[in-house]
Amino acid sequence: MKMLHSIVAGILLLSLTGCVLPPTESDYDYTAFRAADPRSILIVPVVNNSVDVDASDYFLSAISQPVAERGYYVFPVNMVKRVMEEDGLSDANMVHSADPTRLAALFGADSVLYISIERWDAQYAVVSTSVTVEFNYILRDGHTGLELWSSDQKIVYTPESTSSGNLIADLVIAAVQAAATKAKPNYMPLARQANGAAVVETHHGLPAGPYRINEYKLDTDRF
Amino acid sequence: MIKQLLLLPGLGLLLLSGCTSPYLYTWGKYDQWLYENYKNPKNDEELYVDLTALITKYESRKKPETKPMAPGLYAEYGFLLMRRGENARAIKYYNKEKALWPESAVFMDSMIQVAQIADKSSAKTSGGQQ
Repeated sequence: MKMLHSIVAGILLLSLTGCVLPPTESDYDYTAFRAADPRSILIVPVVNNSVDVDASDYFLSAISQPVAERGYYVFPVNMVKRVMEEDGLSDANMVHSADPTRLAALFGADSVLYISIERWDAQYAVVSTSVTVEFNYILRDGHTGLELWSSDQKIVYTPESTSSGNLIADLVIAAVQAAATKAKPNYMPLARQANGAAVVETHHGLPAGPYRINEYKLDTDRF
Repeated sequence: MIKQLLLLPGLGLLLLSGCTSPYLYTWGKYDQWLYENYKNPKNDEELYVDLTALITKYESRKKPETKPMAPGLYAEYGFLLMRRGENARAIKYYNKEKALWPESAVFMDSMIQVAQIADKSSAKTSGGQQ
């Protein structure tokens, strides 16, 4: 049982320290991304494959900041969602299956980011509750519709895990400490963490965009 | 060899900087405000009040080192104004978004057009302004 705990804690640490881990995947192909060189990203309403009906709206609030801070113009997510709803595009599945180039042209976007929520749930056990979020991200070229980048992020949080000896990991754990309670888990810290990891992860994140002037096109050693 | 060793800590710093680098933009608590707004979807009032405070403070800034307003925030504010029937003010903020972020031009131009039409028709219905 103790061993199981340390394994769980180990996995948790691995998943939480996405941004400080040494590079694990150096073969991610950025050719298409670098060639397209997008300046702007349209984040469309999120497809929800989880069991929580509210997850897609909540998720939307946690995505603009990490993507924009990578140096891209990110269209206003709430406004885009509302405008689409008014135009009869309230069904995210429908939006995701529409032609990306037509969608991009409507907004003048260089690229379109499609996200699906795969997990957003809490599993209750006798000794511990674990909270899981899992997202799938695909960025498509707004001019050709081709895939430019993709990522999967899964974070499992179990509140039992405590100090790891790693300062940054501890800070992250402290930040999500309140995330899991039996009554009503707060998924937002996990969603923010997953989105942050997705875009900054070395050799798998989003290369710096044009507004991250000091790194733009100079970060080929990392992406 | 020594040179290579010297480069290693630099690389480590680079790897870390993704997590610790300061934000590029002024965000307020945009993510928190949106979350609260989705929790209580019928009510844009709080989001409006929060964005008003953020933008008012930003526009009266005196420190030149203040970070630029984050992408999309002027536009979100313009959209809220439009929903409140304040179309002329909405257009003002759509133009601010466009000036700060040229990538938004296509979207902002079409929203400005919608706001202009709405502004004219509300002037008509309120009577006597034509």
